Amino acid sequence: MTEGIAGSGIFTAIWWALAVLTVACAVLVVRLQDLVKAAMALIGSFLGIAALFVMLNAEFLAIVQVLVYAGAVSILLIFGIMMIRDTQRGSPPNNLAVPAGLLSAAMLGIIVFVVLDTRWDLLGDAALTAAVAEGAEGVYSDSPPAIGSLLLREFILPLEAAALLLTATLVGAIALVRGDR
Amino acid sequence: MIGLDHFLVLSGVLFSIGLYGALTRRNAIAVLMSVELLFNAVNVAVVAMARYTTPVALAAERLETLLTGQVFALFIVTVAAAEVALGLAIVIMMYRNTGSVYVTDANSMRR
Repeated sequence: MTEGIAGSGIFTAIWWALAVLTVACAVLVVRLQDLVKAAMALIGSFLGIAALFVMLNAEFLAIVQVLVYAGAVSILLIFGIMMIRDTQRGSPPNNLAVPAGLLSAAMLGIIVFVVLDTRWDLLGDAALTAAVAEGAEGVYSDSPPAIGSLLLREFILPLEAAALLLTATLVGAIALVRGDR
Repeated sequence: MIGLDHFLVLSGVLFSIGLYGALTRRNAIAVLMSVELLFNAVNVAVVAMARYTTPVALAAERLETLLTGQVFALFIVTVAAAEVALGLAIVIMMYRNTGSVYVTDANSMRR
């Protein structure tokens, strides 16, 4: 993963453009007073992250991101906002801005320090043998069969648990919203 | 040259923004949107880790295990979708019971 397109200048330029887009949309999500506009910014952030997944050779996950997040979750949120929006009062922030800002900045500082202080190169391509590297390109260029095989072999129990979770969520959401009529 | 640390720092930035939003927003739906940002930040970190690192003990005949990080991210997406559906149901019920969607007004589970 050190040569090829990942090392080229155009890759770097696209990455920075996507990073700026994603972070700007995220800032809008937490700052905009109009929640419908905030939800639109959230869609922009989701799409930026989907494009970042493509840059990480995770095309299948990028499609899932667009379908589930930019499609389903954001539509659900917009429906919720439009049903119960408090247009008179808007969405004022609470009075925790200063401690929350300090906490977030401390969190960011710790994350950046740890990331920059760790020798990630010890984990990376050093462990790759030539045969594995060659096969890895095949796995990444044709990932859906490999993901399906992983899901139905190593991760069959979490897969069933996810199915149970979704069923429970469906029943629970209907039972909650329906009330005690 | 974009490397693992770029993706991890971006993920940290997104996580901090989402954390700030989840703590400062008064509207419960806005808090849900910020929590979605947190999930997405974690997903970026997980997928980047899977892409840029290789397990030393990787068996050459089971190369699919290279995609374990992507499968983790898939499960995170599933849980996040379930969370937002159930969260919205709770917010709608709260609005129906108290007439407000502000988390600062939520101090009772009963009518």
